[in-house]
Amino acid sequence: MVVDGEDVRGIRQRIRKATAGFVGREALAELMILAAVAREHVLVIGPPGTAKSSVVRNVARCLGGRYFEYLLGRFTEPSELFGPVDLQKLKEGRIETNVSGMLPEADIVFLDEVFLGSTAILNTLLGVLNERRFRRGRTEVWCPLKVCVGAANSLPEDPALAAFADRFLLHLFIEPVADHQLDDMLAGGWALETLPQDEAPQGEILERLSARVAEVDMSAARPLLVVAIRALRQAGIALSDRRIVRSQKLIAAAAVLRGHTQASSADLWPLLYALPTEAWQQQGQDALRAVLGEAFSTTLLGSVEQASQQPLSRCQRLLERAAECGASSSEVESVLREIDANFSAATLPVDLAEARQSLLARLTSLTP
Amino acid sequence: MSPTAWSWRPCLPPGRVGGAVIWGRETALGVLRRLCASPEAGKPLRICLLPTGVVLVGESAALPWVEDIAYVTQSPEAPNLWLPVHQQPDVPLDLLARALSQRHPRQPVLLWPDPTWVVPLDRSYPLSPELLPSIEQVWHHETR
Repeated sequence: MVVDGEDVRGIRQRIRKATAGFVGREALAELMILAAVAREHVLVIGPPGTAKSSVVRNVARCLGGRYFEYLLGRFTEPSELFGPVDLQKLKEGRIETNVSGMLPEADIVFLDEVFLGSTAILNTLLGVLNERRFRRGRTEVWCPLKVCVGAANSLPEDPALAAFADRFLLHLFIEPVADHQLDDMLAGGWALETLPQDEAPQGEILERLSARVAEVDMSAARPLLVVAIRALRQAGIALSDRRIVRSQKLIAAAAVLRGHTQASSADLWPLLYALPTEAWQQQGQDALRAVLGEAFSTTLLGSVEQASQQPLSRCQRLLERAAECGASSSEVESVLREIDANFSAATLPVDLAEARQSLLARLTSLTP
Repeated sequence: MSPTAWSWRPCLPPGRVGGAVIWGRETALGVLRRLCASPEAGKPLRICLLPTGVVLVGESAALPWVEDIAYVTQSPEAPNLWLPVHQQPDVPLDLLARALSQRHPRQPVLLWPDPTWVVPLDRSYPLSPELLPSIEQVWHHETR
């Protein structure tokens, strides 16, 4: 059984639109989509000025729905996030919160410096994140929240805050752009200024894909997940039972976003992002090398590639590059270089071998 | 102590390549001329001359492509050892690098599989248009 290909392609197009001009930030956009389909949340850890909020805003715009963003501080009041006291109700003698236009009504939420929130804010957020319910005094409302992205400069050391951080199943650690990507970043930043901002949002795609997650057949993936958890434990990485169980939703969502309703070895890669610390993610990459050898996606190319660091995960992106590369010989050579650096003649997949042949033919026609 | 036998095995490619080997003088000269003439000639590449080709070392984005080019990478376990991206020896690389350094004082080295060859990479020169006549001259003298 397969998921509607139009929806999967639609998601891929939106990811590309959302990250156009941003260098090295595909994984953030893709994990937001994965989390939204799995009904989970993403925590992004990285220094300021790394385009976290811009990417989240762009993804939100491309996905549609109501977006709520807030920079938390030590003195942020709960009313700044959840809404003020409803004065109309107060006149009637009831204390209720007016959530109109505030976080409880949002589909996509971005909370910068999320760990600076007060206990009152974080406790209320827990209910919203876990149960999709906002409770405050006598007010209790259902929240349409699809995904919440929290951002911070580092993981908290305080155990109470660490427990809150644990509610974000996906953890992504991002770094400033590397030296070799500076050229691309400058060009991308320049191009961003001129991007058209008229994307028509289509939130229903997410709804449809998310509804398929519960139908995913996990029977083939579950034994592989057990192998992966054992490999992690042998490497000294002990995931909490809660994270292990919830990671199945991520794996199912990865299968849906690959266009399938049966999860397989191709879909285990989100497990790496469920490892809560950067050190564990780095160790986990080695421990899961064999398990993630077949990691593959047709939509979430950057995050799969980052997780598995193996050639097959690069195949789809290279196919896209081959199909879209321009008319200059340097562009064609750049794709050929990446194909040859990743695949030997013996390991080159058939479709990529065909793309390589077309590139060679194009190069020959371009060479004077 | 008896020497340990080892052989080459396929390996997963690294995330980034750091160099390339171009075999054949004519092919190599053609690529070098193209690199020097390209608008991106400012990207730094260093060149090591071989009797029948060249090794180019630099950022992966600056490396050229030509049919049959072989990309190489610096071993993370043994920084003085460079290897092809698709093959590696089936012995611990740090120990192999140490053994190679006993026999080949010029470091770092590129270990090449077929034919097995140890290429010292210590004498490398920045690629520039001015270097091309010297390369042609060296190869011309060697041919004679």
